[in-house]
Amino acid sequence: MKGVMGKILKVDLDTGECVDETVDERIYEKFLGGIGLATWVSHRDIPPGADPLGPENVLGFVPGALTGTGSLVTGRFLVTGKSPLTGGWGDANCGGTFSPGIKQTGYDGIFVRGSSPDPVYLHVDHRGAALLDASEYWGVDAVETEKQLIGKHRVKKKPVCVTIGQAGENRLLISGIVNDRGRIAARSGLGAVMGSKNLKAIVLAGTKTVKAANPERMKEISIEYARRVRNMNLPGLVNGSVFPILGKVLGMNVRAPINGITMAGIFRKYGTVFANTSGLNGDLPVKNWGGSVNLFRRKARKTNPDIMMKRETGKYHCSACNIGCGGEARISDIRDGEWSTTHKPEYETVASFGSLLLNDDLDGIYYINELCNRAGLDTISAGNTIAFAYECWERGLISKEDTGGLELKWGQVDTAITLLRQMIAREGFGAILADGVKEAAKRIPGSEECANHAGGQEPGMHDPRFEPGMGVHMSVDPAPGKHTAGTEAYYMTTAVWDYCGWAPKQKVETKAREWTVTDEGAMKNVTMSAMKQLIDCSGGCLFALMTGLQNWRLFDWLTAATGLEKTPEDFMEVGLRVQTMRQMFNVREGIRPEEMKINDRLVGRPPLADGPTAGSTFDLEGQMRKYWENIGWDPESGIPLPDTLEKLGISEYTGGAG
Amino acid sequence: MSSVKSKRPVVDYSGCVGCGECVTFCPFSCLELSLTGMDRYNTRYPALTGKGNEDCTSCGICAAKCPIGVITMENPRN
Repeated sequence: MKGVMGKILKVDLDTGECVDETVDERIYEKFLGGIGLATWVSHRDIPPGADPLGPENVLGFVPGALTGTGSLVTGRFLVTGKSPLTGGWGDANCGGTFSPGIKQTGYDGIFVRGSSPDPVYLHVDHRGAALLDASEYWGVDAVETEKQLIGKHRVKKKPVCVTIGQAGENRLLISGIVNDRGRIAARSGLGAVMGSKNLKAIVLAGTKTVKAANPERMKEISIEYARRVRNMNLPGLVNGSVFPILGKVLGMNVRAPINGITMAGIFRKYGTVFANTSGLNGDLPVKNWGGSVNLFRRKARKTNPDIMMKRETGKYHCSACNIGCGGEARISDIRDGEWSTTHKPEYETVASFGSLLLNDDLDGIYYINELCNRAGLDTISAGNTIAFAYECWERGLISKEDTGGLELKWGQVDTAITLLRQMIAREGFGAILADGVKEAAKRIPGSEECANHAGGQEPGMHDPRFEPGMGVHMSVDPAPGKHTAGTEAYYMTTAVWDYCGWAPKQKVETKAREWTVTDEGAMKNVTMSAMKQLIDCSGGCLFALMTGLQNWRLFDWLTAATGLEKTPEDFMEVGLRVQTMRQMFNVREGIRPEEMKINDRLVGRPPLADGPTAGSTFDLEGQMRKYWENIGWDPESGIPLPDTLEKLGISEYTGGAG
Repeated sequence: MSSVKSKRPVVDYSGCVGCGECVTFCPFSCLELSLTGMDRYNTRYPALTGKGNEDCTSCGICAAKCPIGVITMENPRN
């Protein structure tokens, strides 16, 4: 198969060995690359029952099959392994610059097992791979570590680097892995896995090229996508103050097959922060998911996207991205100018430390953003955990004696910053919170009701009571709690039904159907899962998918890059294969799929009393069962059926029947 | 007469999308996303750095890897 490098690098930190492994063509045809390749390696190389923070766990870094081939918005990478947060499959998707760097060293993945007795970092260039002493970088934040390592190893070619911050070093179960000064593979607690291996960083300085089967065809498709995105500019009247109205219109009751290229205009101008105010339609979680958006409506004026744009000094594009939803922001006037710049906070961060805490101090959120990026801390999980603590305080479950004198009152951002610093260092009351809400709830008697998570992972900032499909995906995905796994709001802009015969066509309909259990709804969710896994095999971006497959022509690029004679349905089957491989990883780890569901509060049990989602609740378990049935997993247990494993051709990789 | 090695990448900024593939694949990091202020979004566009202009070997990889073909290798005008 073209477009890939044909081998992976295996690093054993117990022995210090770095060896190449050639990957069979048959594996590429089945799994393409990216997360698909990682599921194959993980099933094979991680022993069942391995301690996620022990030497047997294998931490994978995988670019996509399309990365570097001349396609657009396909420069993302995945970090994979057994998650210490959920005890099952873990993956974290990340942009930045690292993804093509892996391929430029000649590999389709770097897989690290073992544990080094002393801090090390991995360096790979044209001379090969080597483990080098990292003791001088241990304790240094991720941004500074990257700067120093790139400075040290830059000859002519500027290397790329991933690193953990202090949160990963201290094995916080909610820590991630950072590249390009703050783009973070945040979810699933994989920073702690890297920390447990005493692996501080990976520095890559390869110069190999990546060859597509049909470069001219690649270029032709890319030129057309670039043209469509370039021509999609938001009219001047669409600004931050209009988003609440747009959000309300879209949120009220409408589902329709919208041409997703519109999304490109929104992402180009604002990035994800448009949702700061559009989320007032009921999507925005408030007060540890316990209040309605009415509590935050007035405060949301201070997190208006237009206010955030004033701090933006330039756009930030991940590798190969022509949209550029990211931004670089000036923060030299915040908190005595401790830091001069940060990546523009994403909506997820603004909500996690804004509405979730009833905080409208936007400067404080910018500061927290950089603090978490440097420490390598997942802002979604950290924000949820601090909101959990605030609610515990409100309920009298903790007092000043527990918190070392801190008063955890809603809206206080300085308290959140103090708690974050304590968490990162595992000090004081922060040590109680350092491993996320599930662990914190075990440490604070009576707090279970305040703990919002799915199978141990804190939920992204989109309310399932507003979007039941979001709650279903957060519950059925083998790496639960992720807002990026899918929902029908994403589905309706993809146009996937024009390419894949079994994908339900999006009709113009009311949103009310999403509260009921139907095969059609379940098949949309299954399709969405397959698409998401396929783009994670390809190195693609969810936001590009949302611009529509008629524009972002993933299937055409895949054919032109790989040279494989596959139809879109064949490629979608790769997505189903990978989703089932991920689920089988959980099954072999003894996880019961129903244990991965979101907690009752997020399902509206009891429902909110006011706001746009007042009274909203839905049959989550029924929707999960329907999803399992439609994807070919046992509808009662969620365990993939033997026939499904056979049909997908993965029995031999998963240890047999489910 | 200009030699082949004197060719330098010339970017058609009217079509460039700032995706950075040329920067990624330049073997000597001669290009950086350093040009700003050219559009309403303040996108960063690629340009040869001062040192990059010296280090450039005219290999043409940047032009070959540009996903949308807006880089050409040209002899500098005097």
